[in-house]
Amino acid sequence: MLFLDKYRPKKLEELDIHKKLTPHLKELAETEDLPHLLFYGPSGAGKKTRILSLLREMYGPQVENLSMTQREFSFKSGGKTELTVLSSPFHIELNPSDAGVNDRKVIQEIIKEIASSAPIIVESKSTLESQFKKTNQKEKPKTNTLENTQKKRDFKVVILSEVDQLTKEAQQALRRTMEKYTRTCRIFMDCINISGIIDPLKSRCLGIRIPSPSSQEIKTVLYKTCKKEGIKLPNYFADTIIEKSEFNLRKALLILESAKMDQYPFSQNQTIQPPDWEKLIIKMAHLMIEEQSPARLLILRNSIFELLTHCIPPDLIFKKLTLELIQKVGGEMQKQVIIWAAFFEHRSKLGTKPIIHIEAFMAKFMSLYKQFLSVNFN
Amino acid sequence: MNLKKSIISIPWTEKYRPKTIDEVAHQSEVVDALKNSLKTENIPHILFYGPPGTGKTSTILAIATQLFGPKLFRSRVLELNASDERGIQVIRDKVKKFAQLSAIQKDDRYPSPAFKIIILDECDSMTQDAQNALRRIMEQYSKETRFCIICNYISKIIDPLASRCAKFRFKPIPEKIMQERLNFIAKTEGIEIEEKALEALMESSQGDLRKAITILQSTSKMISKKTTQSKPEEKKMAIEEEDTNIETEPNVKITEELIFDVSCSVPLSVVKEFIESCKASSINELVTTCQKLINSAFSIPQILLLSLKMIIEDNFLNNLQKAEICEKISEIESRLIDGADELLQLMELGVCILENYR
Repeated sequence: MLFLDKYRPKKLEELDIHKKLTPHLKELAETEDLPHLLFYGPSGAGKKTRILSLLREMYGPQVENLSMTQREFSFKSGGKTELTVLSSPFHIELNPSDAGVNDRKVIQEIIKEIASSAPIIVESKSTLESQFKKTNQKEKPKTNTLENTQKKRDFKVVILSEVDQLTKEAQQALRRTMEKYTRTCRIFMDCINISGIIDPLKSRCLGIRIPSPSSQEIKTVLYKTCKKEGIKLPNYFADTIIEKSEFNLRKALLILESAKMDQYPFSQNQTIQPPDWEKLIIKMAHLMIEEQSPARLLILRNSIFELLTHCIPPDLIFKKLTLELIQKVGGEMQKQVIIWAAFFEHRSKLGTKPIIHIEAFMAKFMSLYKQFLSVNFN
Repeated sequence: MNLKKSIISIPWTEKYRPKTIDEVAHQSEVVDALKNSLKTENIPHILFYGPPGTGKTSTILAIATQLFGPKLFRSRVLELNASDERGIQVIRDKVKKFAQLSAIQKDDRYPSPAFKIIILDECDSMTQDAQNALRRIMEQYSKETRFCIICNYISKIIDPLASRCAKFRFKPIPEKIMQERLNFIAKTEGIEIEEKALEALMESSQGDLRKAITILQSTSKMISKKTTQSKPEEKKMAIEEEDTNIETEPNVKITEELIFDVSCSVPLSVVKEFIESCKASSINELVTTCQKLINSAFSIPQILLLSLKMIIEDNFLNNLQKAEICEKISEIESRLIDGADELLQLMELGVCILENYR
């Protein structure tokens, strides 16, 4: 098992990063009329972990009885999709954006189905529990244990992941559903870009911002993990890991683990290899600086294809390439790189073939750079 | 704790939805016009438009309840919103069928006029075709059916539909009225709220009453039980950081910081830092600031809004420069809506500001 999963915190108290949020979440878990929640923050900041721990706090350890099913949904209006659904007696987790263009229907029909079926299960449980309470008034400790394992709730929780990837139509469809079924279900959402979410949705839920962990927090987690695993982690190496992790805790733990596989005990001059795709992009940036010609562009095209076939998302390619180029060129050129990267990345989002836009960006850079060189050095 | 929890858990936004039209906050023109129609027991086709959280859905629901009473509500009112399938087929079948029904039943306690209401909520997301299909239906059955169309942007409604309806614009609710409403809710729920916290609430909700109520509710939840609980270590720490006086006071107060914390609005200091780093005119520094901003997960559109405000108030820039930056901000905002990458866009804004500060 990866360190990542092995040491994933399960309770709110165990969360090591953003401790300031913990008491707030605890209060939320205690209350009975909880609003819909929207967790937002960069990846690797612990959104999902936090949601799951919150659920545990709300419903007790039973939420961990997860079952994963591949459900096939067929729509009244025809057509069907398959979705992976994770569910426990109290919650259901799905990623509606996986359904692609059908996400609106998923939202419209599935959530309605879940929401309208929920109270039957839960009500019976809660009435049972209250009966149990009445009969067992004297045996207080026993009721307490029961309450610990089965907390009473009148609603179910639906977790929607990556809501920022949903189409606008699907988000529209969520609006009224969220209001209508508040009695029977609460929706917890997580997303990375809050700008991808329409205002009416935002105004319907309580946003919880989860920023990236600070380097100090990452360090604490790294040391904690190492202690449990019995690994010696020198201070300088921890710093390198943090630097490479880009404040992404998940990445930091993965780097730690792969570095351990690579060479252990850690040595003074051990380097952390960037992933292959990053290496390739660094090489591409280098090629672009070296020579600006159509022939070079043809060589680069192969690299882009390679990246795309390995499922590296185009926006990531744009970002990494931009950051690499900025490091390699000076003042005026840096600005141009940023301006054109922003321009072409936006276009690639509107279009359907990212390769065209990445290539256009490269061609633009080459022509600008060549001009810049001929003006300054000729 | 004087806060007794109701057994049924409903969000306050639902709990305090106005029950009669008089309770609708602020929208006096709309309310006056509709009150008249309540008296005459007749309403025209209605089109409500305005920003979210201003009471559009609440108003029509209140009218419908006042006209028909809870008993007849189900048979007389058809509510369709974006969560329902509303393609052309549904309009042709479901809506038409409902529109054709005649309404005879009466409830003596309510006026119950002889027509039905079809509420089409969130019409922005209806297709053009579906809207077109509505045109004739609206006219044909106007005797026994009234339509109420609700949307955020009137431009999304096709002209022929708009011209068939009495249009009502819902204004953003002014601060004073929002404060009254919030104070009322706070009083009923038994929470105290500081004057400054109210202001912060206004700031972060920007005329959206629903948002303000949601924030108020969640904030109240985060504090209300702190005193009664046994506290683990970090909890004590957190309390020391935020509200040291909470344990001594029986009535828990909502403070300004708490509101900012909960509503996740961007503090002005963050935006200031961003603009300062642009002034420093070093691209490398700009890149690190932008990365930091993205990592801290603040809402970028809100950062744009705040920096717009700061740029306009800045005396160092001349009008032309300000205009240039404003144009850039608008461009970037629209790009973000298209789903462009936040980091790259933010960096471009930085470059633009940097150019103009030189």
